[in-house]
Amino acid sequence: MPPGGHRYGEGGLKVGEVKFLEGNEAAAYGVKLCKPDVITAFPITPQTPLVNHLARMHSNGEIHGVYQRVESEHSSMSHCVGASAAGGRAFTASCSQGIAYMTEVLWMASGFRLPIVMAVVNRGISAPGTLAAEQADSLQQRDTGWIQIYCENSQEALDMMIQGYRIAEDERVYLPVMICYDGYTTSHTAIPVEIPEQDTVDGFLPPYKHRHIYLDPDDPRELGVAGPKSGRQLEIRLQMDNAMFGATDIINEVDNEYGDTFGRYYGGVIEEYRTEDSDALLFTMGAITGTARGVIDEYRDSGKKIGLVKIRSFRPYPIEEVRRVAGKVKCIGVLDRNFSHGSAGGGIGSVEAGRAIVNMDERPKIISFITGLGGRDVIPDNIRYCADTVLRTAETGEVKYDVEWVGLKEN
Amino acid sequence: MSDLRIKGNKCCGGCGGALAEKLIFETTGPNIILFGTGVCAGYSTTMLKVPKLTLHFSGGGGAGAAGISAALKATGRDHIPVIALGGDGAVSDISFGQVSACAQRNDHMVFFCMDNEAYMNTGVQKSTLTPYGSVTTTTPNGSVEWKKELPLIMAMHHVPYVATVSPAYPNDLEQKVRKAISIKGYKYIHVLAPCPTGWGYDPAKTVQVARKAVTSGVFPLYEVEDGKLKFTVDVKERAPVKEYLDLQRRFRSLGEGEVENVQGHVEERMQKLLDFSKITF
Repeated sequence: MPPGGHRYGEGGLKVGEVKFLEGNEAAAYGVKLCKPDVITAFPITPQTPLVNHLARMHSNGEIHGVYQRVESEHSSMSHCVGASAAGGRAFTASCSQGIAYMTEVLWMASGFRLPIVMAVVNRGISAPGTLAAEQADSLQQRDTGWIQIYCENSQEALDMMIQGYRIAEDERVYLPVMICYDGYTTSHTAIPVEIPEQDTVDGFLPPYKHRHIYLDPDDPRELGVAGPKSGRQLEIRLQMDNAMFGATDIINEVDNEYGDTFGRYYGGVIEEYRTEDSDALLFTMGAITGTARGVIDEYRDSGKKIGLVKIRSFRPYPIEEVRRVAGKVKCIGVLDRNFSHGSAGGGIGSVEAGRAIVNMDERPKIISFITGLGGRDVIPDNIRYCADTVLRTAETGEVKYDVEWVGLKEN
Repeated sequence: MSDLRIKGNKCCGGCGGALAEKLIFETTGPNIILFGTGVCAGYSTTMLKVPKLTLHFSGGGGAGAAGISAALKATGRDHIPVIALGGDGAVSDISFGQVSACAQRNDHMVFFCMDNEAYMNTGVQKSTLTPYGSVTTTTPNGSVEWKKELPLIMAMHHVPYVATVSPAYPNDLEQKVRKAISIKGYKYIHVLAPCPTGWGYDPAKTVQVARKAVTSGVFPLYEVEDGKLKFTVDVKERAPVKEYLDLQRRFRSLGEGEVENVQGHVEERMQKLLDFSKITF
């Protein structure tokens, strides 16, 4: 089955109920199906409907674990770390300032190798203040040792909650996972979503039991003491990075198995869309991908050789896959719904892609397109501009601007 | 009761916190889950034969312990007591919001504030539990602010149990810890932990200093159970506060008038506690 393929009800697959759901409610169904032991909730726009739906499901008795109304995001992640270490499947959700506020605890979740799953309803960070979509919040945490998966729509958000726990709890991984989807564009936009059957999910996701990290008086062990000077920091970080890059295969594996079980394949760490014989590519993450697909269809139909690569896993960064697709084209345009001030190349996605390909003998040009910040609509015309620019660069080999700002207001 | 500590912790000689923790863990026994650090960033608890999770200084207020407690409940293991320890800097300052929220939610744990009245691990800096007049490295002329009344603030959270304990009164300490473990919900125990290094006294005199804090009324021993405040160690004749202050070099900058001021403050507070003991919180 090609990545992104959907097959409802074919081949004897059980199809669940289809409901018209906004991203947050779809994500809540995904979380419920994972039977979390502990959910910690602190409200922040635009994540709030997600925690509200979970509260309703909990009070209805549809979720049996503990629903903790915590006093801050710092505490919500601290609760999750405690719960996960004590043998509970833990979930939380946040975005924006909340993700910034819990920063130090994120490092502990990953450093203790705890398979927590957190939904990040991507929103920009103040100042200037915004409540709307931007991927700066999760991307600023790219170094914390969390796996980061970016979803295009509500269905993917639901499906990735289930896959998220499978990936995180795989003993070859044991790292926490952020499932990211765009604020409002996905979180508050309803589409028909298939809700998998509980027994099928139960078969796909076994109960949580950590092999190494637990708190048990019968086998006491201590987590979290500061080591001596130059203790084992270097070795432990290397171990974590091996697990992180090892997760690339696991994400692909889990995606395949998920597709076989539920009928939806997403392509694993990346999805290629109409990339065959391309001269140029656009890289996207999250909801922008949907609009970009339409533009790519239009260009392909008029014979222009441009394709789309949806970066699904930003951590681990799909280095091999990016090199493979980069080796076949002359220019890549990275659509970045984020910006790194003073960086070597505009958006974080572009800087990352550049590092991934820099040691290739033959490599394409890279252009960073900064767009959609603070929820600014990214319309087909914006993407056409990016497509035209990368096609022209592929033809001439000349990069006019390393970084371009797309969709600016004229005054 | 056996000492759960593996020999060779990093505490200073005469550490009042380590002594109090020894008494606490002798009472709890090994079938617990421990969260947090305790005195001096956990120097005294790093070598303990119990399962333990330490998050970080700013998580010392018990959020992690509440998470542990929640997971134990969800997985049917909530017969295991969750014991949380935090120093005065963690509890009263940086994670006070957590402390307050855990208490308000009545999260199931016994929470100990190991109060040595300053940030000792980093080299004696003032916290909001540093007493008036105390010289610290950030108050070189002596603090001019009054210590926060944390046990009473905790009692006002309507939790089932609050107590103050001192390592100089081991029987009182043991009884309170036992009682706290037997109660469901949030229990708060405030431990005054004399610190020879930070307070400036001979390490051999830790128990003497701790006892004088109680007999002078600086640190009265009481408990608040279901909203009723009761003194557990009756001091028939209170010693002058000056005797307590004179034992420690940290109060050396206090002049005569200021000592009187401190004495007055202690009297006033004792009166308040007496008044509280006649009402229900």
